Amino acid sequence: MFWGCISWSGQGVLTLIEETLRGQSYTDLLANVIPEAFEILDTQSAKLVQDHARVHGHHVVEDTKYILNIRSLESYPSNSPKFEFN
Amino acid sequence: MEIETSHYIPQDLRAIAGWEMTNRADSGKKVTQISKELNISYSHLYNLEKKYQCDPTMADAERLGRPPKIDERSERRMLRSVRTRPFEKATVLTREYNLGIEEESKVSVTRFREIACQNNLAARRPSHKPFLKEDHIANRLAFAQQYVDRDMRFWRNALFADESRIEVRPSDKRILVRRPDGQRYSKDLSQLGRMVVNQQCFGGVFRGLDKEY
Repeated sequence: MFWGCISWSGQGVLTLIEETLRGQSYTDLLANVIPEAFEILDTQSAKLVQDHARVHGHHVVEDTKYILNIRSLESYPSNSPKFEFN
Repeated sequence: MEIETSHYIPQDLRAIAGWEMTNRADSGKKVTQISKELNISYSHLYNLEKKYQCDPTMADAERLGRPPKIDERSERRMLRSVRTRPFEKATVLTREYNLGIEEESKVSVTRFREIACQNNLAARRPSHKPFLKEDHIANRLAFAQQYVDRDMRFWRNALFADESRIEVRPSDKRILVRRPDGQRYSKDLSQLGRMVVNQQCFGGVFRGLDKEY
């Protein structure tokens, strides 16, 4: 599984995740990846735009978000529905 | 000699049998002869004769208990409402059925459903549903209206992040089986072989990678 991010100023980081994401492992991931991404993208803070996967709303994540100077975009609609084609 | 008789003898036939039995001295028929003609056992004919002498119309006696609420006409009315709107709930249909009716002949939801099932109109679940429900559409519209006026200073700061699962090996998901039209539920898997061959060819593209995830 891969985690990646992009923004206005360009590509961010692409990292490999070997285990399934839980609350704790997701916070560890953010703590490792976000400072690196800020260096590349040359910013100090960010609005994170995510689909509402189960880990994204975990209660452990909120504190690390505050420390890393991130907040998530308000009222972003939930997961895109599956468009299957036959 | 045994004669097969149906359980229920209609009223006309009963009346004829009673008349034949009372007048058999005049016509000169025997009891066995009458029973052969009318297909009623001769022991039962004597009972019919007694009944005919009491009541020549041979009507059914009044029975105990509550008369049935639903006659043929009201049943037809129920079934018509089910056929016109096959995906409507039974509760809604029953409420509409009971609207203009007297209190005594109102029907419960379970009885309504039972009658529909007896006439091969059991509940169905649609195999295809719309992808976006009303809530989804409303959410998306609200989101768009909230951020439509924001300029680049706002969006420069946004970080779009996502996870995605990539499979190099043959997938461990459910296998997609393509079938010709009208054979969705058939158990014939002869089409499956073609699909597996395609998958192996597709997998060969990725074999040059160092690691496989």
